[in-house]
Amino acid sequence: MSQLKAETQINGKRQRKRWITPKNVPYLFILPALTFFMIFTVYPVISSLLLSFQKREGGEYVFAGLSNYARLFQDELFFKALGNTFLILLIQVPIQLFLAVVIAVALNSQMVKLKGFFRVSFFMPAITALVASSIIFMIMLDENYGLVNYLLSFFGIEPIAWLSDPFWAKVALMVAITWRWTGYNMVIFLAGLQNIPGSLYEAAEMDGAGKLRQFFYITVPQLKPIFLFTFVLSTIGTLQLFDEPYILTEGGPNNSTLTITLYLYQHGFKYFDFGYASAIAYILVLIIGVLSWGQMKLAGEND
Amino acid sequence: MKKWLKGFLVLALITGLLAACSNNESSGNEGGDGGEPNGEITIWGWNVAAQSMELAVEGFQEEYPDVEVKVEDIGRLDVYEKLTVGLASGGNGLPDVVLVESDRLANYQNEFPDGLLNLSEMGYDKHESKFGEYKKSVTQDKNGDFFAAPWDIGPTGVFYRTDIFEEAGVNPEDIQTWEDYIEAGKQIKEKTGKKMVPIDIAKDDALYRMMLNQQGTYYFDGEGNIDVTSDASKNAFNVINQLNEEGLVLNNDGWNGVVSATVNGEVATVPFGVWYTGTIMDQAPDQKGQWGVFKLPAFEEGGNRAANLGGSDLVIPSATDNKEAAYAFVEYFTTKVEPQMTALKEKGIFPSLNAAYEEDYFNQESEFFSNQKIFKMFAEQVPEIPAANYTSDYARAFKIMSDTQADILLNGTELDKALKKAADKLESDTGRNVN
Amino acid sequence: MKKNNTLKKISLYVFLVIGVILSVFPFYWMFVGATNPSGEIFSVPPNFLPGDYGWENFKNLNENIGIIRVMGNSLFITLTFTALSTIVCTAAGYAFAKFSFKGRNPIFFLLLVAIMIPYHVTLIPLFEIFAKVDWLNTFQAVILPQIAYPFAIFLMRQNMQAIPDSLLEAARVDGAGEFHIFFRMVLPVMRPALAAVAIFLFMFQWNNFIWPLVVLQSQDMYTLPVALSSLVGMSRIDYGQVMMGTTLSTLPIMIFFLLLQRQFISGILGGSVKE
Repeated sequence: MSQLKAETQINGKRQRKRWITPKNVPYLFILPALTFFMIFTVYPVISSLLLSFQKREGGEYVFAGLSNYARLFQDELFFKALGNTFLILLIQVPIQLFLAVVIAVALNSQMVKLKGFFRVSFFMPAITALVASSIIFMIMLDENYGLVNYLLSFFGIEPIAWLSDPFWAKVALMVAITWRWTGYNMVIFLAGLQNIPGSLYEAAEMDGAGKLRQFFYITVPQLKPIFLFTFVLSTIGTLQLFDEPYILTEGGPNNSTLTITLYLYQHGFKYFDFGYASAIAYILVLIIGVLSWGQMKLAGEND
Repeated sequence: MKKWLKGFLVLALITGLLAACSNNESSGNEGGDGGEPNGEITIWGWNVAAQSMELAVEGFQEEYPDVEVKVEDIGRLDVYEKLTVGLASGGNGLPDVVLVESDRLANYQNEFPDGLLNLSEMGYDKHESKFGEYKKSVTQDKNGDFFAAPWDIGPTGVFYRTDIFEEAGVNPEDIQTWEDYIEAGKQIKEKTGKKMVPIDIAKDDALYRMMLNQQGTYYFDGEGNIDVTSDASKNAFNVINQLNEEGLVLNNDGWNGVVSATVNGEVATVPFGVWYTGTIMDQAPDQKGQWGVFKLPAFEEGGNRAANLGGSDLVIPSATDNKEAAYAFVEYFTTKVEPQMTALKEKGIFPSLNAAYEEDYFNQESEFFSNQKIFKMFAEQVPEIPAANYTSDYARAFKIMSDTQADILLNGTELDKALKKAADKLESDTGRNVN
Repeated sequence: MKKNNTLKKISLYVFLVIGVILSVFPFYWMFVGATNPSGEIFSVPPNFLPGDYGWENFKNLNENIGIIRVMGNSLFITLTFTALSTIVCTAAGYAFAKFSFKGRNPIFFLLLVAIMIPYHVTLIPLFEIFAKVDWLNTFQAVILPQIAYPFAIFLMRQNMQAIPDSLLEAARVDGAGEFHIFFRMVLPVMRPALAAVAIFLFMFQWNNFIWPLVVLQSQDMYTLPVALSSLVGMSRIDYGQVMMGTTLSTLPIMIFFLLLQRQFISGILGGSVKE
């Protein structure tokens, strides 16, 4: 309490000794966060990391060295899951970011009114509870009675097996993810666009540069840090992709939509092999770490 | 500054209060040692099953007035997430009774051998003769001890649309074998354009499982060896493959897909467990009188037509602090006729207790199902349902065989090759022997 | 020139409206499902019009899962969490952005790593913690674990970096205390960022599913997603009720976003990415 008193008397010339100084105050500021983080994140993480070196035998955990990790490298399904996940990363993420940036630019145009309405509408998919949207998607994508195939039939398109054909299941998965996250990224881009000084465009306008040129020569370079930001976010999100495949396809058909975290989940919660599941998790952390680091590095060197 | 402190204190207070408020939820008094069971027990179940237990509480309390029962209605898959976390953390936070589907029991029993109470030690053995062979095979461990109490059972049947059959001129009574079934399917398709059967090819091998059980085997045989390359398995996939090649299979996406195919009358038949009666009546109330059921066709003339799909049982986690009361409820709920009949009449849940089948209700005709005595038909099957050894690797096998089904039906992989591949995969994943 | 502009305008609107329809249609369809009886959702050709069965679905839903109570639980948990976490993460973000202290970089690095860990593997140890202190089936068990939300700390740090050091120094020279600086000077200019972080936190907690599912045991404690999930039974799903519940669950989060969206957009990245 006494620093309170000290504070009130500060007006005077005498500099009383402060108990809270710029030297120690950062520790006070991070203390609550750090405490929560240590208890509820670091402890469980260490505990599960230890688990990845263990194996269950007859209901008891025994030390198993690196055997879980060794097993991982011979596990075909793990590599398949890895492949699926990267395929989504390489195809879906660029499409989603491209759409997001295009919508953001359109929304940022002075010609558009009702901006608030559009913003909210595009953002809505990101705020829906998954339990909800998944049921809707399943019903809409049903091969025989789904709305999507019904609408496609007007264009003379044969029913598509959205969730039970290996190829289309991947497509459906990507569509569902794009639906959910485009608006989210769009909002981030919109924030970035509003930080670009208008004078840049005015100058370009004077030089007679068209909108398309302006987009590529001003907007894109100016948004570069935001591209990086959203790209890193989407990479992490995609590598941890669980919800959509869990509910829409359960990883099927024939594992064509199996993702790494879904595979992890199956081992932990279906087969009760928590040691192996933990090993998968930490290999995944390693991959994400290396990728994110690489992305930042790459972006940094291009400057 | 002062404000900040105040805010922090208020928050601390709220958190403390919350803790105080919610702690009194925990599980009540300890069960009486010796005397009559008393105290409060909590039960986890899902949906109509949970509601059935709720309905049974009143009758239970007539016999055990000192036991309070609280039934928590939880999503079916959610029950397993919670049960798994609870058992894996040494029994923390588990209720006194949990409903578990029969095909998942062995996995829990095997992985957490000390997690579930041995009911035989509580005296459940005296009820052994009250259940059929199938139900005992899934609720008893290797030593013949009950680790779960048998509850509902899913005798199978082929649900069919009477109007479509009529239109195509097919008599369901003529369908004795799967060959007949395929022939009927062809005729129906020709006359009405409808397909014969919905299958969620990529995710669910339900039809295959019914056929395996019908022929007295499963993914694994009685010794726990991998049995997917057996003749029975080949027979089953042969039939399914033929149905598919004749264009009689409607490929569906998940449960919703099968339901919508049923509601829309796009398929003439749906082979499933008895519990599907409730689904049809719920989702297609306007199709009253247009449905009937017949037993699964046999693989050879005069062969077995009884099988099981689904069904669930009750377990008591060892961590319960009131095993007397929990056991009292489990015993009442699974071995007394009255709660069985209430569950059947109110919620359409089919009992496995033999004594229940003596009830007059089983002779009633169902208006919805064209005045057929459907419950009698299902009840008659029960003693004939063969035993099944689901084993602790059921979940893996289920996944692999559903993949295999997709491999055969969608990718056109040759049957023997696909089954061999499945067996190899199972062997390397589970370390079991292949027959 | 003018004509050209009109054409541009029209095509712009057409593009946006198509986008909006794609984004919003599932919601509309959900609403249609919520106001019709269960089997209706499968009818062919599809029914695109809201029905008059909404009240009936609502009543059944309330009877089944106590939707009103459940929404109250969700609101309480989410708001408490959002308030607490915003304060805690903002303070931490401020420390990371504006001070250099021993251990800053390793701790920050740890936080970033935490973002990358799939949550399924930490469920069981986390559950054991709460079992030990006998806090299973409590609201605080849902609220506490993610209070130090790494992404929120990260966002706050990025935003705080835009505050000029000279400003803080000047205040210190004037003799302002550190907490005074934080609460009276920093927080007010950080309002947009606070809104952005609050929305992220609200979204996370409102839709949080697996952890509340595992840790809450009695139905009267359930949050909305957990209760909705309990509607999906073994072989019976009342689609009308599910859709009604879904519609209701979307409303609060929409309102929250509508209220804060203006601030949200400008606060989402504030000064950060301009570096």
